Amino acid sequence: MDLPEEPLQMTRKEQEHAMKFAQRSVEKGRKEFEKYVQSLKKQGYSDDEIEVMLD
Amino acid sequence: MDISLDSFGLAIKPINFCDITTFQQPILNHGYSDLPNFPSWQEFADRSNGLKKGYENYVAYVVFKNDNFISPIGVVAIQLNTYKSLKDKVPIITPGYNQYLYLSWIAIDASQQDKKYFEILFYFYKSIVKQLAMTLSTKIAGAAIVVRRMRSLFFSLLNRSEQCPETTKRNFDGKNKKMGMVFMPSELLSKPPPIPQDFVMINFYTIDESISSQVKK
Repeated sequence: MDLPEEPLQMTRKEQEHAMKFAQRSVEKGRKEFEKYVQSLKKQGYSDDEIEVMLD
Repeated sequence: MDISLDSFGLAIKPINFCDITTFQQPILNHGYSDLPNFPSWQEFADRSNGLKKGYENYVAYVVFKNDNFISPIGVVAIQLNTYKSLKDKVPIITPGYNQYLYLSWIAIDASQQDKKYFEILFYFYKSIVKQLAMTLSTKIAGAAIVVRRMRSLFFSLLNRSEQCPETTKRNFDGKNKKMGMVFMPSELLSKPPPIPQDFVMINFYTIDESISSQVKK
C-alpha cells in the first residue's frame, strides 16, 4: 500500500479541498463521539470502563 | 519484545528482533502480481534499522503463527510522521493532528487470507496508535494509502450496515463509535498515480483528556 514512493503531483486547490473535507469529517465525528461518551457517563460508566469499550 | 496475541494464535515481533536469515522465504507471499514494490524482509529490516533515507521512525512488525518464528504469515509496517511531512503523500489529512502513524504496509500471506487476520492486524495497528499517543502525550491519527481492491476491506472494519461506496468522483467518510475514516479516491487528482488507490485518514476515538482536549474545535 506504500504507493507511490514519490510525492504526488497535485495543485494547492486539490490539497485544500481534501484537507477541508477531512477537517469537517473529523470534527463531526468528534462531536458524535462526545455525545456517545456523555450518554455512557449518564448511564454510570466510568472513564476506564468507556475506554475498554473503545478497544 | 514479542507482542503476543495468544487468543488469536499469533505472535508479533519487530523485525529488528528477528533473525530474518532463518525465514523460509525472502519476501512475504502476499499473492498479488500488481505490487512490484512490495518490500523484501531485508528491505523492511533496513528501513526499521534506519538505513534507508525517507524511512525514519519506521518499524516493521512481523506476524507469526503459533510462535513459529521461521515462517512469517504477515507484516504491519508503520512510520511516525508529522502532518507537514505526510501531507504531500496522503492529501486527505488535517493539520488538526500534528502527528500521524502512517500505515506503510499491512499484509497477510496468501494462504491465510481467508481468516480474520486482517482485522486482528488492524486492531494491533490501532493499539499502537493509542499507546503512542499516551506515551508521547499527544494526539495521533492514522493514515494510509490503500490500493483499490482493499477499499471495501478497510470500510468493512467500521462494521457498518451499508455497502462500501464505489465512487471515484468524491471524497467520502465512514464512522462508528470507535473510529472514523475519511477516503479520497486518487482519481480526484488532476494527475492521478497509475494504480487506482484511496488516500485514507483514520481517527481512533479516545476519551483520554490529555489527547482529546487538544483536538481543534
